[in-house]
Amino acid sequence: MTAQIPHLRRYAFALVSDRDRADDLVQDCLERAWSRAHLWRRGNIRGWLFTIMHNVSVNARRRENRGPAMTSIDLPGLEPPTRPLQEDGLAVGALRDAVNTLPEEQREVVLLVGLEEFSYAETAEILGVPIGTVMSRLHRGRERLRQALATQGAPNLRRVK
Amino acid sequence: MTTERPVTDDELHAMADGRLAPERQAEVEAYLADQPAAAARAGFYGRLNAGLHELYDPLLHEPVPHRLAVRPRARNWLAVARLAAAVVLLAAGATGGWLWRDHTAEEYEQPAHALADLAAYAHVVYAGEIQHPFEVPGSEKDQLQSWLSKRLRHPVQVPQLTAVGYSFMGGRLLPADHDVPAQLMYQNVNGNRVSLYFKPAGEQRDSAFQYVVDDGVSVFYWHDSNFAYGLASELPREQLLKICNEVYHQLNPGAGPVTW
Repeated sequence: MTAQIPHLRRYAFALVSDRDRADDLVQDCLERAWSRAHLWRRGNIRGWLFTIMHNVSVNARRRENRGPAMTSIDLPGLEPPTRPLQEDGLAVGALRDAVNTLPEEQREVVLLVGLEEFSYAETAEILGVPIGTVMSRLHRGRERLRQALATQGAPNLRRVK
Repeated sequence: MTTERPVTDDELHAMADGRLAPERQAEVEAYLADQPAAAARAGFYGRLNAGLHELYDPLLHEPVPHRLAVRPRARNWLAVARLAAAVVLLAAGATGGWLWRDHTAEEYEQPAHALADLAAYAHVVYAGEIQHPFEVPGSEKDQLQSWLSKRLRHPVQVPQLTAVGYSFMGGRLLPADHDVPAQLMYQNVNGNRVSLYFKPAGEQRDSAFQYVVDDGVSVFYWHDSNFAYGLASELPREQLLKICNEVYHQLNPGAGPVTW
């Protein structure tokens, strides 16, 4: 279980874009996981942990929606390079901003599939939705990112000669 | 003849994610060769995944914060202890039973092991503190020694562990059920911390060294005529044993090596 902590931190940070809140989510997730370890019988532990992470993040979001609006915070230590990632890659700063503007449901799917590399079926199981829902969220999320990056980040997307 | 099955959006995503059915691969590739708009989308999806990794993968290589690295039982101690710390100042005696309500009667009947548990617990609580790992700083060692000697009713000597790479940070008194234990905190250049927990020995006279690992915290524990000791840390046994040897020899000059 502890081997998954870095992955949970990466995912949580990508999801909420704030280090402290991300680690709070991971801590909640681990506490639940340890307290329910006796309920876990089969399957891969990674999927199970991310299922718990999903539930924890949904609850946290619900609480936050009742409280003051959260603003995204720029983080020392994870400053994005301004260069393009590779010759025709995406500028990470623009990418991060675009990911942060995605609706939560789409962001989750884009990250579970693209970053955590879960299969579509695993993602459906983690989120507790049909696989068709996963595919449509994935499509809408990625298309939204494509358009956001095409309009705002045009110079960054050009091939650098 | 290839079947002219239309390529779906789902398949463009599957292509980018490396999850396309192998038998469809060639067909989808052929389709993309003719359809630059679809090819551009599939290409973007792939670059997006690579971009997400570049953006967020640095977190995988960061050290895990202490609060996440300790297991919940230890963390529950921590939560309980922090809450209790405030209460304890007012009602030291009353909280002991509550803190340890999860412990079985059998454990209470094994004072030696209970000491290791307390040492591990105190270590988890205070070694994780950035700002307040001690109450009295190491720079006031003399005052600390005389204060602790008075409170513990036996002469207290603070071991110096620089020979094994640990400097003395400071110490504190702790509340416990019927005792007033103390804790000394040490740290090496890598930020690893070791704490020495001790309290008046009471009736126990068994001086054998014992070792236990509890929730990732290793503890060597033993007694001498004045005190019961628990040396706790998250270090592996061999490293902790070396430090334990140093502690023991400073407290008992002329004694043989610690064997365990």
